[in-house]
Amino acid sequence: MEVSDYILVPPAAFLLALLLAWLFSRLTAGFRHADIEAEGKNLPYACGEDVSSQKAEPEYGAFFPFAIFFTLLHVAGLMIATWSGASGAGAALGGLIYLAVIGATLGILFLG
Amino acid sequence: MENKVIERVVTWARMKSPWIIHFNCGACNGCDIEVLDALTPRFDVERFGVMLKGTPRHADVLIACGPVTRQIEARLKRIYSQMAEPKFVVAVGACACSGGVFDGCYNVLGGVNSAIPVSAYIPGCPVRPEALIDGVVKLLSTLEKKEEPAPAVSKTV
Repeated sequence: MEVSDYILVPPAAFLLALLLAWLFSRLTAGFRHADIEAEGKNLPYACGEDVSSQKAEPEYGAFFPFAIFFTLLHVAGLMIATWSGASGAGAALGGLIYLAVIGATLGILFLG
Repeated sequence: MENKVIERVVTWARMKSPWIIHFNCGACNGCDIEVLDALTPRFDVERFGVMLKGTPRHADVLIACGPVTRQIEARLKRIYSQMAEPKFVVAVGACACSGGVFDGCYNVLGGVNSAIPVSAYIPGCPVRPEALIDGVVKLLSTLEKKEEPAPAVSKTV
């Protein structure tokens, strides 16, 4: 194995990048200006205003039935299109039963 | 010796790319429009490395227009405190320099220097972009000599 094979292993690459960042930080720390603490210095920038905090709770309840709807139809389409032994009345009956089950599931999803 | 070389390199880099943030402290918008005129293609100060930034944390120079109203004072001070060291303030326009025609109003504190230290004053009502460029050049030229610039005054062009 070559050296690059060892360096390109993700943990090794991460540690190398960390080391380089630390070295750069140490090299440049010597001539940076002293930080002056001030009120509001570490607050988010909002044109000098206070940012009003808002509690957000993502709600996927309305999206969920539509996601399941498209998933069911997608799977049903794949199932019908690739129905094994697709010949004869038995196969057609099996397909129809499958579609009926899908229809009942969708009914439960939206009406139940 | 080594530190001096590094400081010279840093100063050179700072002079070649003074990033600015523009803040209206209560101006009538006349000076703001002229600042934008200086930034946009007709005068195009970006060719000198001057770039308008959207946050004080990336800016070296605060371009302040208008008189400091009592309502804006705390906001101006917070923005100034959020800038990284070393930082410079340019008072743009007669109102920013001294309060202008608004000086003495019940809601006006005064010029920009009544709230934060100012590095350069550019008088004019409104300032012309040429004056703004002249003021920024004067401010930058003081950086070559020492770290903390004495207030530079640009003549009105």
